[in-house]
Amino acid sequence: MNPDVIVVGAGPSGSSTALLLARSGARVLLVERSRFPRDKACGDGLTPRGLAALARLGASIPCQRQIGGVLVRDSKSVGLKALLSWQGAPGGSIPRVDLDAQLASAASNAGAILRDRTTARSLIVEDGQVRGVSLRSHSGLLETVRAPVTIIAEGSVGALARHAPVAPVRGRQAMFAVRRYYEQVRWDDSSLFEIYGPIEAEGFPLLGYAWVFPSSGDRANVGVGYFAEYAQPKLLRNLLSNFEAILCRSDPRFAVARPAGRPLGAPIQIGGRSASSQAPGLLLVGDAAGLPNPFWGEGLSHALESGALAGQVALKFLGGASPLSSYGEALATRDPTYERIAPSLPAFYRTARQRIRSLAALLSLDRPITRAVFALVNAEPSPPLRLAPIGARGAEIAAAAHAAEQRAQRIAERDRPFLGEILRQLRSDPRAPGPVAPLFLAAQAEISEAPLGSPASQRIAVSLELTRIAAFLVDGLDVDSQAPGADRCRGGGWLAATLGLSLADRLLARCFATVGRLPESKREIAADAALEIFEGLASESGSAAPSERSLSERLAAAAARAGARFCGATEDRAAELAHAAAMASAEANFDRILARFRVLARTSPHSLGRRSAGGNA
Amino acid sequence: MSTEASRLVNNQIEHLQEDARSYFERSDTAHLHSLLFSAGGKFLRPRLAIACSGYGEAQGRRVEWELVRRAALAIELAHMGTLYHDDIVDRSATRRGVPAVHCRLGTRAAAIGGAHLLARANALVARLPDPLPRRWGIASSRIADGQLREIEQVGSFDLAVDSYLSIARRKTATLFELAAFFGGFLGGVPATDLAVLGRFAGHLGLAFQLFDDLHDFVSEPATHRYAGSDLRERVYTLPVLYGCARSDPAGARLRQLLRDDGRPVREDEINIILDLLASTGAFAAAARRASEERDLARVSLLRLRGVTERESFERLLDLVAPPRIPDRGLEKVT
Repeated sequence: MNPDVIVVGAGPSGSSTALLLARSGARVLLVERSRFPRDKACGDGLTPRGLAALARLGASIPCQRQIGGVLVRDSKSVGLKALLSWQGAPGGSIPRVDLDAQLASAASNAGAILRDRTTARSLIVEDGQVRGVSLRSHSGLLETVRAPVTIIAEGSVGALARHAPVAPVRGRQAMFAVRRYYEQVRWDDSSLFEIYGPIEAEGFPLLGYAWVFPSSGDRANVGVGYFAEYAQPKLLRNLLSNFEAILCRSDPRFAVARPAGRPLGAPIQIGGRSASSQAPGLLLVGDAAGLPNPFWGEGLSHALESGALAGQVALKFLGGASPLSSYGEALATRDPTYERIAPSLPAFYRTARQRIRSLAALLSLDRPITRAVFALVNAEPSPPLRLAPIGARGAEIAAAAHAAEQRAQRIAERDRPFLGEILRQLRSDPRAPGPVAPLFLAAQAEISEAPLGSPASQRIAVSLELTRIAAFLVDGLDVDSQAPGADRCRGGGWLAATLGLSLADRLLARCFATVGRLPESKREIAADAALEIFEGLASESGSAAPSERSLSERLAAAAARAGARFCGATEDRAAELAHAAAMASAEANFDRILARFRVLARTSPHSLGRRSAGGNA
Repeated sequence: MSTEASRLVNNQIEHLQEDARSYFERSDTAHLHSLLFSAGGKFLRPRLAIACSGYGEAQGRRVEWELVRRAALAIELAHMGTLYHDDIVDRSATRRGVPAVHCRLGTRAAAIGGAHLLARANALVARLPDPLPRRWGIASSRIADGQLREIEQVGSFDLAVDSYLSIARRKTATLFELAAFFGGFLGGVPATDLAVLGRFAGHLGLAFQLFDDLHDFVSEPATHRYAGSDLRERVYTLPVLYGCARSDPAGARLRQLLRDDGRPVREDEINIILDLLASTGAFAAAARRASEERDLARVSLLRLRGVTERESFERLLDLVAPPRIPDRGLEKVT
């Protein structure tokens, strides 16, 4: 036969590609090493995103179980630590032995030629162009098949991708995982993906987690995985059996549970980049492209999405409508946040390898920094803050504040994209104190009628924004990070401290650089605002009494005081505006903070004389 | 005259400590910052700044010592602020012989305290004449960059020595250079001499860091046990880099021992590593490199244009010294 497309590997990514192409009339050869039904080492977990991708394929594969979210538990006490629920659409669970067989048969029903028990031995490459593959059937027959498009979908372990003429980026960025099914598990009503941490080797926590995922009926998928540079099968097996022992001993749901079958392990390739998942005549999809989520190893949703994308791109290519190389861009634009962050996260883990040890401990913490990291790979992009124009100069305030925020973001992003993204997430964290630049600007507007966007004013606004985030990070560190010295455990508290501090110090350094470029007459204003915030926190950090003022109040007060001083107001008038801003900061959303601030600012005792107090500016 | 120069520095340091103490008491934060006044501090960086101003005064310039103290205090506060944070990140239990701030008061208090010192330093610098605040901003970014790069290189035993030195220059020498610039500028030191003082401070700061790295390898006297944290935290400094760069079996063995396999370095492995570093002369080589840097600092002083007493600078060089590790081959060079 002369297929249009050869797909190597009939897992979720390969079969979705084949299904999509065959349904549109393309001649597809789908090559699979094993014979269906066959098992695969996997958590079997589909996120809401994965389920949606499956639904879009239209293969009508029933989900065995609906899953409402992710539950983080303590592996030592099997205690509850945190629940991250999926609002709206649920996730689901389908054993891979079923999912893969059904997807492959759907592809075959749609017209793809499925050739199982056939191994792809090598790519045929001529002049840098991939022209097909050389195959060996289970009877040992060798054959060369040529096609305009070849798609590698052979997962993390295949050899083809390693020899593909794509830019090498893969390095040793991998997770290693092993799982085993249990049966006779007494499930209660809750259907959640359960993640357990810490996992330890010789009393030392590893960067990974153990899991219990509900499977079909009374079965559970129990496993463990961690990030490492190379596989240690024995360690992995020990980790699993230790976890199984704890589970059977202390989890009542596993009181009579029995293992069903042997443990099955596999590497998970991460750290792929869209740019290196294509070559002339060739596309890489799913795990073969290193697409799994580097944060927790989830690969099914990315396999299904990239499989469908590759199918669409190949169709357009065969129809002469667009080049095959548009795949990389399509992959990148399907989720810009993921594309920006996913490649940098493994490098981040690697560089911090001695310092980040327990993913579950990290997930279970309720700290700004960990919320940001979690949101990084799970949350929808948050809508940017909008400021409704208030009063005569509302639009001017909003525009200047927005410009300052953008500039603060760019300054932070210049160093490391990863840090920039954490900052972006922090800025949209609902628990973070609201932006302070608008209050700085609104206070100016109360004192003077001069335009707000002068370079010096913008610099101070930027320095205030940088200070706000630094203060939020520093204030969010808790006292739980553990006894020093003797304690070798790399807990999540300590990790949060390390990440939070290195980011905060960096933001402060950038803030100082911004202040240092101000003219002499204005520098003190900016520097004193930052000092006021940290000094307030510092002076009460020693006392047991409840905080006099929240961080939001401190930030609001310092910003308004700086705005008043900037326009030459008296210290008294500046103190009044600072007080008004602190009171207004209790409002729920920012429009109302500004509105209330303006009312308070005008009802204060000096308001009648405020023009004469310092209206020149 | 020479003792006069030292006396000047000591007086100014005392004065500066008083300024700091009264400020922190006024702002109700003295409980956080008692470390500033503990006996263990050498005040190396403010001493450097004051010595540079003193050099200017000795050349006949009029010096506003209040400004010099402000600048020197800012430098010391910036240093202390990063120390608070470093001790959290490195999980150091003690600092200057007393419990580290995060051990006494908790992580959050130490984090806030460090940020407070940095913000206070920034507010002091904002009240110094141009171009000092701009230089301060650039230096702050350089230091933060060095700290981030250091974290990123954790576990890399194949790091090039030059890259290591470049990180150390950013992380540590930058603040020394800034101290010299602040002190020299406020002392009215002319541009050519100011550049010489900057080079002196850069060499001094790097020498200080390289010797400080060696201090980590000193054993507990009673147990002869490795007392440091760098090996356990896989922060690989010069001796390790020298040892691992060797192409002989000892180098291969070191690389194998230090390879990050996801476990901590075991105690028995640490002893083997230390023995290998000693027997291959890696400690001695690192100590030699540090001494060379100190010599460079000393030599750079010869280029000062003005007729001067060098004693206050020589004093600073004396403060930068190697540890005594008699059983590890260090005595040969020191």
